[in-house]
Order: sequence, then structure tokens, then C-alpha cells
Amino acid sequence: MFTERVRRICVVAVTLLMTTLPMMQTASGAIISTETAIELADRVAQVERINDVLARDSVQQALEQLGVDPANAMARVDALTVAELQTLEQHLQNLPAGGVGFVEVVGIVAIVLIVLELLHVTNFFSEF
Amino acid sequence: MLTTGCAGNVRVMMSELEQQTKSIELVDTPFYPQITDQCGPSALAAILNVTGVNVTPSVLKSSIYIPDRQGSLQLEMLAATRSYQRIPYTLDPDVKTLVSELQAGRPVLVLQNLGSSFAPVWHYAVVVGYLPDEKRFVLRSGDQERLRVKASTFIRSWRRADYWAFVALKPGTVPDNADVAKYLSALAAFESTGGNANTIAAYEAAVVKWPENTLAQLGLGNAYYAVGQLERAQAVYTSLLRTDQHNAIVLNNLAQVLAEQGAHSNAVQTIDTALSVADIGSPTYRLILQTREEISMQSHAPQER
Repeated sequence: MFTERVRRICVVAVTLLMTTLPMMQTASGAIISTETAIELADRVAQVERINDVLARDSVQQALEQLGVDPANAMARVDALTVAELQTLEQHLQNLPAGGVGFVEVVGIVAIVLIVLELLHVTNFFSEF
Repeated sequence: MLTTGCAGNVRVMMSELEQQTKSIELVDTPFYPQITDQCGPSALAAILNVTGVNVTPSVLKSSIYIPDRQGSLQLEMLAATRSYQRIPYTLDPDVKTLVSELQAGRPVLVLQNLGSSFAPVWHYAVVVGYLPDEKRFVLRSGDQERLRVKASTFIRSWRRADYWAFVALKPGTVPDNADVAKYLSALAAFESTGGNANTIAAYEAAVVKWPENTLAQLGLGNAYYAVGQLERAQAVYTSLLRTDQHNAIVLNNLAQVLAEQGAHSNAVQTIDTALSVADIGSPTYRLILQTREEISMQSHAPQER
């Protein structure tokens, strides 16, 4: 339990320091009393944990719906950081998925590309 | 993942390339001919094998390929790299950096858009060389083991992918021109998804390269903690506090380590100092409070010393 807590602290710490150091925030607004902070502490930690779990589940499901074998989907989401999971959760459908080799382009896409090539917009065929 | 603003432009990069007069080609980079839409696994297998990881594209496929997207996502390529105990380091978006990685013996995995911005054709390839005489890059790409692409053509296809590229680092290797924030961020990701003794080597290298950097030292202390080397962790945190006495996070971690070694009164004193320097109400403060509660509970346990 200690290990997990400190590990989380460590990782959050590195991330927090990375994001807050350059900004040099100054304190502003109402001070939160210690009592309130204690009440908040558990809730914040819980929310963070819940968000982490939700993002993990959500991305896992999304991958499975896209044809990823469920046995692999779980391992794959486990390999992602919380920040990466959140990005995927929001943008999974739109992010580039590198895959199409040039020999695979057929049909309409090929026609579009030929036109674009002729207009010197792309270099798909002149790559070589 | 793709952002709208891009650094530099094709002409600038071409003029930077003019300064590269020596031919480079990493001929030992393995080649895995791409199967249909699996350029991701092919490319990733190539750069991992160069660092001594014996993995084939068909094994990598289960970690990165998405059938209905007919390809692999960038983030999953990075995650898969970490799972093989290599640190994925995303390059600065410029051709000088790409060439310097080649010079260091590291082939570079790039994302290209071989189409246009409104009809993108995403493709991964591995840059293994640059030939100044021909002004061509050498790529392992698709079913071409040695694809020689005109530099301007390559740069345009790379620009349309926001100049995305990464290398796989062995833990303990730091690129000469590495950006400290980017390196430490990559390392934090490596650590959070299952780092271990390799994390120590990686942080040790960071501390050597950037001795003044607080985060690198904090990371090293944490890495020692993670494998149970509490005394070493304590030594690193203590040393760090000599130059940065009011670092709440380091104080928190030191308190934890002291508590686990049985030095409870010391631990309580340290955690209280942490609380006194942290911003009340900040997420850090809350985390420190949790640590304090646990330390208090532990000090009331029967095995108190």
C-alpha cells in the first residue's frame, strides 16, 4: 500500500513539477482551510483513481469494438499512462493510424491521389 | 496528437541539411517487409531489434495493430516500446535532430502522411540513412528494404505528420542534444507503466547529464525506493534537500522512507515540514496529508520503535 501510494506520489509529483514550475503560479482566491483540505483529500484522490479506472475501461472497450482481441486489449491499456489514456479516450477515432502501405491504395482514394499529384499537392507517387 | 503549429518549414530544413556533408547509413538495421497495413509492427520491430530486443512484427501486432483502423496509433507504439524496456524518446521536430540520431547509431521511426491533409495516408517508416551526394534519405519502408527518397519529398511527407518521430533508447542512454524536460517526461511514463531496475539506470544517466536538475534527482530517489533500496533513496532525497530545502515533494518522500525504516519521530517531523512548505489546498498538499495520516497510523501500530 505504501509502495503504491508513494509510487503514485512520485509519478504525480514529477508530472506536477513539470507542469507547474514554468508557470510560477501565485496564490490567489480564498484559502482552503485545513479541515476542508482533509475532506477534499480523499475525494480528490478517489476522483483521480476513478477517472483513471474509467479511462482505462473506456479505452479498452473502444479498442475491442475496433476489432482488438479482448485478451490483448487489457494488456494494451495497462501499458498506457493516464495522460495517454485520456488522449485516446477523447480522440481514438481521429488519431492517425499508420498502416496503409502505398501498394494498398486502390479505388477512389487512388483516383483522388492521382488528381492531387497532378496538381502537385501531394507526393504520394513521386516519393521515389 | 497532431497540433496545428509546426516548427520550421521545408526550406529551412533543406538548408540545414546542406550542412550535412557526411554520408550515413545504418546498414545493420533489420528489415521486416511490411504485410498489408502493418507498417507499424514492421517499423517498430526494426528499431527495437537494433537495441537488442528480439521481437518480430507478428508479436508486436497484438500490442499495436487496430483492425478496424487498419493501422497502429502513435501512442500505442510508444507504449509498446516501453513494454520492451526501452524508452521512447520523441524527437524535436527538425531534421538536424533526426540526422544527429542517425549519427549516434539510432535509426528513427517516423510517421509520414503520404497523402494530403484532407485525404491523409498515414504510414510508418524507419529512417536509416542520409546520402548528401544524392540529397536522399534512406528508409526501410513498406516492402522496400532500401528506399531512397528525395530529401524534400521526405520532409514534406514528414511535415504533414507534424514531424513526428521517435527513437528507442536503452535505459541509461541519453541523446546528446536531449531536451531535459522531454527526457524526464518519457522516463516518468516508463516508470509509471512498470519501470524497475532499468528506471534506476535511466535516472542515473539523467543525473550525470543534468546534475543540477531537481526532477532527475527526485526520480532517482523514487527509483531506488521502488526497488526497496530505502537507504539509497534516503541519501538522494537528503542530498537534494541540501540545495532545495523547501521542496515539499522531496520532504514527503523522505518522510515516507524514514517511516518505512522505523524512524517515526524523524518521519513525522519531516512530513510536518513538508506540510508547512506546501501550498495549502494544492493537490500536492492533499497527497502529503495522506502520507502524514499513514505515517501517524503506522507510528501507533504495535511494532512502533
